[in-house]
Amino acid sequence: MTRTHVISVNGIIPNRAAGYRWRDGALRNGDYFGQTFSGGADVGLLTTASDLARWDIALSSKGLWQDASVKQMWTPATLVDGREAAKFPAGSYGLGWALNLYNGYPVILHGGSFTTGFQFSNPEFSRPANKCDCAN
Amino acid sequence: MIVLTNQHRAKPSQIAYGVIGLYDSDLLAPHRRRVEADHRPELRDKVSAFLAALFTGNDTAAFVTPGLLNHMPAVPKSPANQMFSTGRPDVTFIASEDIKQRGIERYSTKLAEARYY
Repeated sequence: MTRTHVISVNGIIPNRAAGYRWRDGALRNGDYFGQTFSGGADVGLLTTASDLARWDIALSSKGLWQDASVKQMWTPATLVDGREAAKFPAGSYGLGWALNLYNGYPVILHGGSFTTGFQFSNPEFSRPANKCDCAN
Repeated sequence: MIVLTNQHRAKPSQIAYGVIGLYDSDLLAPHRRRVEADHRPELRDKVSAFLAALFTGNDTAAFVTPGLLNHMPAVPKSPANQMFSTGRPDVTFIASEDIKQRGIERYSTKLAEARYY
């Protein structure tokens, strides 16, 4: 993941995408935030789709994480009174991952957006490997 | 599936679910499924009644499993929640699928069938 960094507002980063918003009927630059906000934990990574694919593959592969850690991340978190941490209709929530169903299959996902104009969605489906119609 | 967008009104989740359905027919978006005959219309009516109860802050216990009921927040009765005050919402059946073999448990209940409306 050589193209993934904590955002540097002032740094020169080749091929950095710009963010846009519609405002007053026109496409305009996304909102500007300084380094303090832009480098925050919830919005502060600059990356590429191919780097995120490497991250996803590593998550599902043996070696990067202990199986128990992955299971804990992808198990609905519960409060001390036994209730799940997330409430309907939000589905369930593990450690940093939303846990849901889509078409009757488990899906783990996370996404995000910021008024700088950038948005992200990353659903991962738990499916038998031989069910993919990728050759079609 | 990974979708990154740089326009604030983009809907990356919708893009992600739309694209994944092109690669895996089992993950085709529900609204793009072939419409089937509904052999259990009483369930459609139950879904409609559930939604009406949910969004008007009325008791939903008769419509859901005990496990899901425990997962649901209390919805206050207020004018803002009277979305369906004039009646039940229209619910249209699309398709159903037997999913018993997938071994999925949701809110302490094993899932047998997925129904798309």
